[in-house]
Amino acid sequence: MICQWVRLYMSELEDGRLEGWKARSARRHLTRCAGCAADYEKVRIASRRLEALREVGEVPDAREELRARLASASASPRLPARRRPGHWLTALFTVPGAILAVMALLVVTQSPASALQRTLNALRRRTVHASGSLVHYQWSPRDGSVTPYPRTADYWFEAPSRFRSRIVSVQVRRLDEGPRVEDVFVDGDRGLLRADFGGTDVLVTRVDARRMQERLSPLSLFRDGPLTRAASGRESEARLSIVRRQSRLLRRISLDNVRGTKRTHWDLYVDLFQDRLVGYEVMQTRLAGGRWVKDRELSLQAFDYDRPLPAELFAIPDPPRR
Amino acid sequence: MHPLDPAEFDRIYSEYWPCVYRFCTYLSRNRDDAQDMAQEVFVAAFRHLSELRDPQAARTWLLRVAVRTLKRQTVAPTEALEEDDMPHDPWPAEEDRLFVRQALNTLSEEQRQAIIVVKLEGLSCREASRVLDAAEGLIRWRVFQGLKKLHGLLAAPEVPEGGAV
Repeated sequence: MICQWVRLYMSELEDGRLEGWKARSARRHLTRCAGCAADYEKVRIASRRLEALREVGEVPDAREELRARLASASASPRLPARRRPGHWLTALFTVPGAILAVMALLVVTQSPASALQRTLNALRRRTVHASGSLVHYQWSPRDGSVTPYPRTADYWFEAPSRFRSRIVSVQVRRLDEGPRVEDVFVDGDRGLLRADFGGTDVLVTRVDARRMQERLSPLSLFRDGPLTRAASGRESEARLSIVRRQSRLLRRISLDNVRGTKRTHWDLYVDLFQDRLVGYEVMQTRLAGGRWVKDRELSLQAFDYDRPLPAELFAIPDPPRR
Repeated sequence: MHPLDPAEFDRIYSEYWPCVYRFCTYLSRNRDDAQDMAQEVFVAAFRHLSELRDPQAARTWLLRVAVRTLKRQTVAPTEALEEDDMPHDPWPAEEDRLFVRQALNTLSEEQRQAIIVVKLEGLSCREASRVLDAAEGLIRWRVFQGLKKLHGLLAAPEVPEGGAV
């Protein structure tokens, strides 16, 4: 019983907030009970490690943005769903009109909702490798300039639960700006992040596999991921159109989302004949200094489907000795 | 008080914004989200300022508003879409911070919040119980269990049990 009681108060004892008879009793018990003493040491070490999170850096000035938001408190921050009743007609008059007309007829004979759902369903594949670029933009509050930090991005997915990503910085970066190479491995319920900052400076840490699969991969399209679910529930807001890219006719699915000071726009390009995703573009902008500035941009253009992927690709590596 | 009385706004901003921002920085799983979260919380708090009865307990009240606001956000219909906006950006300001943050994020939400409120925000367990709507003893237990688990995560070999595939 006393062990249970002491454990409850260990944190307060550690940070000096436990006083009087409670503190004396707890300390006395720790000198006699090896189990509680060991637990107390764990609490003490973990508390020290938490100190690393205390340095949150400079608090950004959000005075003007907050004032604006409060002033328009009654206005909805979300973008209304864009509806384009004349959209398909517009497509008919573009070149090559005849082919587009046929394709558009194929699409408009079904409701936008079912077309979207059908497309999303068809996108699920056994394996896929997608590659492209991921650019982070750094906005300077001093002069409003935006500096791009481009990286190459590769994603591999193997149904049902293997995932791997590799993000490589294109240019040499300062150490505190992030790793030069960042690998994420997910195999079932196991996940690992390996961040290489250059030289022997490598960080390897376990990660939550489920969250990685659902949140980190644009390939969640190939699973019952959040984007698929969300998109399926937002047919009225998804805008379907047909575009021509490199002599191919593609169905474009566009979605917008606005939350707070962040705005995200997706364009998904699907091969009309094969129901395959062939382009995935996401642009995220954020409100900074009273205007929308680029924040992050992901563009995947190369997709390779249903080819056997080497097992080594998903093999979770041994960690370096620390 | 008119909600947009400039002088009043400035006073409230100066007094509360740093606190709200810091708290959201601790709570957010992605540091890019911290400022957005902080703004949501600040706007919510500003709207409910009239409910603050005891100015001495302003900080506790504010953190309570923050937890409630963020709880509401997680069930908002657009949240799932938001979560999948982009691949995760785990760039750390420095290595140790990322490592500790990753470990903290693997705790249960209850343990994580209890640790943030008590150990990082420095509230007493009694104050934390008001912020998190849980009994004081439960807060103590969550902090203890969370810290113990955190220690295990930070000290354990970094590959999941079973080693390499």
